[in-house]
Amino acid sequence: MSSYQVGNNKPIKLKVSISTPGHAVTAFFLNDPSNDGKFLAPPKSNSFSNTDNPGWRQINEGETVKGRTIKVRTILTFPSGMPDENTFNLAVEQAKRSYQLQLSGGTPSPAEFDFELNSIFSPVQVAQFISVISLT
Amino acid sequence: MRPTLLLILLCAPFALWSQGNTQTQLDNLAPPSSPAFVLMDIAPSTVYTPASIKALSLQVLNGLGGGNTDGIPKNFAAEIVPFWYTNPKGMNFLTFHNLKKSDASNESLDGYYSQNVFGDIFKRASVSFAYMDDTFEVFQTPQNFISVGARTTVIKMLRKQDIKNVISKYKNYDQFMKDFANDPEADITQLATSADFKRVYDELNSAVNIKPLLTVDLAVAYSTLLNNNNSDFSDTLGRYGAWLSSDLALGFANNNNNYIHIYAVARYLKDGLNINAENQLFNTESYDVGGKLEIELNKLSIGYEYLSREGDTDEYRSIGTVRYQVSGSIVLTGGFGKNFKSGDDTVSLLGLKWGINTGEGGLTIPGIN
Repeated sequence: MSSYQVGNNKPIKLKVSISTPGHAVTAFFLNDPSNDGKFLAPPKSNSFSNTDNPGWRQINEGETVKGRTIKVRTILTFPSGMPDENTFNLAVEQAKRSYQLQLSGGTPSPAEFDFELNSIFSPVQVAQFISVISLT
Repeated sequence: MRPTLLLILLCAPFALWSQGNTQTQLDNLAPPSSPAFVLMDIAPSTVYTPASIKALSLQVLNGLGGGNTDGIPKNFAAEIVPFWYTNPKGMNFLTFHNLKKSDASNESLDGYYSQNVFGDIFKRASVSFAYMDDTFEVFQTPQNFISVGARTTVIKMLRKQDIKNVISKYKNYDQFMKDFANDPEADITQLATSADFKRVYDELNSAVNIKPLLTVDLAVAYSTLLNNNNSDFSDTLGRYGAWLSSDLALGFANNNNNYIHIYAVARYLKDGLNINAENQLFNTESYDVGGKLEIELNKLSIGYEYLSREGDTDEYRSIGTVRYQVSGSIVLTGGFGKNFKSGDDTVSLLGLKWGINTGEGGLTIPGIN
């Protein structure tokens, strides 16, 4: 898990950029410290795809997030269909090279974070990027 | 040195492809349509549009004539799409399909109502290498040739209603994925069994893979004689060619699988595959102009192509072509008629694509692993 020093700063913002022929949708979740740290679905949808406006997005609707943990997940699919596994793997690698997750508003600002990537070719062509960041 | 260098270039993709694979997945085979084959007039058709975006495909061709009497394929090609090895900037699903915002200030998907007709030039560019052992209807005994070629789609024009349909289906897909991703417990493996995902995926897949109204493709290729078959032929140019082909695809109402294709092709050819009475090769320069009419009915395509060659030689190619998708993994292609150098003889050209999905298995191609 990565960490990011935010203190009582607000707003803390998030930005995900990815360049890919596929469809990439990103959602982010804050944990609930009073509920075993379980990640919560936001009160209203906060997911966005790579055809939406690629700007910065506020976390926790602009309120402080000190002591919370954020999980950022990007799901990559290929609706036009990859012709074979070799091409699929290259397309996922291509997306991986372009993937960038940044947070701003803390120290330093902006800061870039690592991610885990896993992918499946069959029975469905999908990959996901996951980052879990402790906000201190 | 030149043939040696070209042979290394030819073998490199096979070597790269086989790294890490003790068995070769035949699903990587594709119909024999690379410029490296087309240049030598041994492909079943000279009129192709590059439909596949496979990063790497292998092509096997077996001429029924041409001195090949044992029935074993002796013509091989590898084709690579370099796009998959690059780092495109700012690309998304819609821009990959050449859709662009007609109004940059419009942040909604409705802003994607125009197209970049030149957007496939780099994305669909491919480079091919071929090794051939054939008489090419010139030699008494088969000779070894190698070819390098490249092709791309320089113009792809979609119908307006097809663009609107893509945007409409994309909105449904985008919303489904946003809803799915918004659940912190969502497991991506659930997509495989989700009927709703299958529905929005299939709808968008059909919309983006519809045949464009017009495509114009450019190809270039060069071939040379390996001259290692104990022949007395001196080093020869082989062939150099560059050609443009266009496909006007007219669809049937309410059917996305049936089309009438009207193709046109123009080709410049410098040809060293001519032999005189003294058994010496000589060069000619010519221009090919012709066309092809093809009817595509679901899995079956039937066509007829005619090319006239003018210049130092006056010849023609008159070939009936057939392509049949036997199953999702096997495609048969064939050409029957008169080739440029076949005189009055009828020639038969056959190609076969295998796509045998056997899980962890696969089949081994002798000599390629």
